[in-house]
Amino acid sequence: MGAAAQAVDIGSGQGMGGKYLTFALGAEEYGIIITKVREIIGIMEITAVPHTPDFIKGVINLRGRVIPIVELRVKFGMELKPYDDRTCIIVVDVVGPSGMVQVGMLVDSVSEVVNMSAQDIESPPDFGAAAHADNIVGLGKIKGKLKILLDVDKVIGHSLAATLTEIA
Amino acid sequence: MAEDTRPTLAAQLDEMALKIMLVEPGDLSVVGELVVLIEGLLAMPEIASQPALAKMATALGEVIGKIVMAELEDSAENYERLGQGIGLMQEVCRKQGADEAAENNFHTLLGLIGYLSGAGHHKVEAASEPPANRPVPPPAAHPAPPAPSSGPGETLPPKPRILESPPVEAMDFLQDLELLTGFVGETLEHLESIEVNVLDLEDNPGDLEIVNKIFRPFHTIKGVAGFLNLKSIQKLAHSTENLLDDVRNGSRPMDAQVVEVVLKVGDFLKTMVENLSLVLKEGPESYLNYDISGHLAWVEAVRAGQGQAPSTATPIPPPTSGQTAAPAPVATAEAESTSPPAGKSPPPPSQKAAVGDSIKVDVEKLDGLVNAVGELVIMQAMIRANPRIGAISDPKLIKDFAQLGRITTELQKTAMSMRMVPIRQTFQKMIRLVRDLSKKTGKEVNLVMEGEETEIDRNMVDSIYDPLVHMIRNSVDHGVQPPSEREIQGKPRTGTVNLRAYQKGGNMVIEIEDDGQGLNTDKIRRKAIERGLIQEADKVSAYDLHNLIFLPGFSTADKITDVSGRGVGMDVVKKAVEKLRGKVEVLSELGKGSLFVIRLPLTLAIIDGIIVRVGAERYIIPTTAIQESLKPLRENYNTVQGRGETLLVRGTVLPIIRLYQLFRVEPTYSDPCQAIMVVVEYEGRQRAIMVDELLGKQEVVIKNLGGLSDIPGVAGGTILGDGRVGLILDLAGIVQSHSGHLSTDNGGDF
Repeated sequence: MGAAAQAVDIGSGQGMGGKYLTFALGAEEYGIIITKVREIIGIMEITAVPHTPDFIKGVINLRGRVIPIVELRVKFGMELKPYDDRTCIIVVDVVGPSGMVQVGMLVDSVSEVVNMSAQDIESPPDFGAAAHADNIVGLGKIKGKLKILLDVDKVIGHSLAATLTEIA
Repeated sequence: MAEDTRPTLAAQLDEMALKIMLVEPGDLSVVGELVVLIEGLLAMPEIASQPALAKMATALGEVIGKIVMAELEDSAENYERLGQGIGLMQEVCRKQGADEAAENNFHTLLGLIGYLSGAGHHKVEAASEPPANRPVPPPAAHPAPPAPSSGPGETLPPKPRILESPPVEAMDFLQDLELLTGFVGETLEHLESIEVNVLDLEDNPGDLEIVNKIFRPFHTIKGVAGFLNLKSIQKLAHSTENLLDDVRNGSRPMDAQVVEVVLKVGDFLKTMVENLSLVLKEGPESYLNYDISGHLAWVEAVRAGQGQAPSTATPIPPPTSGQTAAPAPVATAEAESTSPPAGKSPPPPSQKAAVGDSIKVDVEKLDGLVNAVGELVIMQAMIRANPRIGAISDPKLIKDFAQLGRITTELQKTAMSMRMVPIRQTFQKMIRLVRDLSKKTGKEVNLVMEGEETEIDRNMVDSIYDPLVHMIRNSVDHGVQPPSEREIQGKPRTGTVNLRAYQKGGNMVIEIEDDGQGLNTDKIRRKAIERGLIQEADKVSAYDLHNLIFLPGFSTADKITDVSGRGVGMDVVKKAVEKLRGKVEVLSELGKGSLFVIRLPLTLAIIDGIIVRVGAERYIIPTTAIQESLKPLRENYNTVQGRGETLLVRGTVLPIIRLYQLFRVEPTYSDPCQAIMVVVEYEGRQRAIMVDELLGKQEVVIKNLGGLSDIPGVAGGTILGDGRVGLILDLAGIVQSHSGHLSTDNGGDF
């Protein structure tokens, strides 16, 4: 419980300890802070929305709510891969251009929830001017494996905002 | 019991406050109604617990009696004072009688009218009258004000270096706290957007749309500040607006100087508005009278093309005085009593106390309920559509399903109706507006309202307020002529502005009609030619010409007044109305007047639509826009070199929009003659939208697309019967982005 409370404190925050949901995307493992996660759902039919960037896959009906779906593979410039029964949508709360919104992230598969203490997390290495460097909160090491910890507000929220200004 | 009595007294006083607004000199019928109200007030048993109020009401009754008997002057000014008096009574009522200051002021007011002082007629502009006593109308309304600080026809303050000394800016803007609160909030938002856009403009100096985006908020700030009599803010916004107008006209380039000055003015306005918000919190004592002359001079200098900012202007000028605008002790008391201090925000007089039993509910909860009910309706439909369920032929089940359907429909209706409110409150705010505007412009205008009971979606109320203000302002300022001119044309001196609301065919219609000068078709035509919108030889109907006034920056006004007159108002109106999925149009006849018609959907939540299929996607087209659908014949299909494709429908040539191209989806048919054409009308223009198939008609609940909004051509989404999301088309966007496609290819759709 203590860890969860700590996680709440830091919100979307900096590379600090707490519970992280980890998922796979290609060969890499990513993690996002659990307090941002609303739910995990299987893949369902997605309605495409015109005039949006490629990484916006479309919208789905989440129990009566319409939420946008971001295809993380496209967002991160990876190659597309056909959906299978492990493909998941992680629904997260992000700060969008007009307040909190729910957004679904399409990922290859969801792995587990891990507890990471602050010592397990290193600040992100300097990738130079790499495009997505500031999306990363830190690098977590669990059982010898590396997890890239994402800041969902930046990855999703900001790109939503960017989408909109692009359209306008 | 004491708790229960106050609302009734307060309600009665509110009613009185409203009535006094409607009183016009020479029209004693409303005065009669006022007397009845006062008698009603005195007859209330609760009044016994408030002797002070009873005394005031009695005195008020006597004064009105004397006015009726012509013992006291039947003048607008006296009614103004009576109005203030009623305001003070409301004050006393709220404080439960413990307000001696208000009581004293009340009697001072009556004294000014002539009551008790023995003088039969009020002496105009008695020297002893403290300025702060003067209510909202600006100095311009008085016969011969010494050096008006901002007359309506004035484009620029004549002597920008003159400091505005504290007494000039009376704190009458505190009279309508609700309005002021709104102003503070909105202005801060506007300033934020200005800042963002200015910075954006710095990167894209040629983009006129961004200049428009900066211009509009300044215009709005100016307008509302003028209405509230916040002179400094109004002046500063006005002169900055002038500068931006130059940029917009292309008469000066957008350079670093402009960016600098606009940003600094924005900062300064922010400081001033933040001070106002402090005033709202802590009372009038915290009001600071800022010296704007430095900034004003700077803006003018930049506008005149002079280089550097005067050094006096760069730092934010310190407030000239930390005191309230108080030339005389009486005035201080006055200012404080008419403006309730700290924290309290009493209902303004125009607001009726809640009628009947009602409770306040959090809007979010209500929206949650409406959403949940919407889901329930869809879920129900899905269960019924399940083939296994359909296979059961149990009569009981069928009966129960019918019953369930009835209940859910009922529930949905009720939930929807909970979001509907009468438009009355919005309309009532216009009374004050017209009254103040007519004073400001020196015109006599009578506002006639109809259909205040008409219900409108709660979510629309706020959004419709701004456009209405713009249009009413426009009607009073440009429509209705000055009394002398009206007489020459054989019209009654007093102009009439009709404000009507009614429901018609699934729409809520708001009409604003004035009996003023109407639109000058020739002038608009010339202007349109000048701006290259039409060619000299083009035959354009008067209706089409008139509706050009809704284009950005299209104004035929010869002089720019501080009320309106750059055409900026009308395009704001149009954008705001379209955002609500409504339409606005103008019908006008020169010399007779103009009629503005706003059509809005009854609710923002539900739309009646035709579901169409394009490839694997399904879209919903709002039924209101659809005229017909057809399978085209080969001979009616034509391509126009460089201009796209057309379809001949009943003798009219319609441009074809291939939806699959616009939305980049894979269609079933790419041959127009195999596909279906849906003929839609948008803003008087018809288009044929090409789709693969019509799937059916359905009432759908509109949902926003989560974080995605403002997507061209898409108004929102809905959950279709199979649980998937369907997109609702926004025809305005489709027609526009289609034209956009053409113009990039061929350089113009006109």
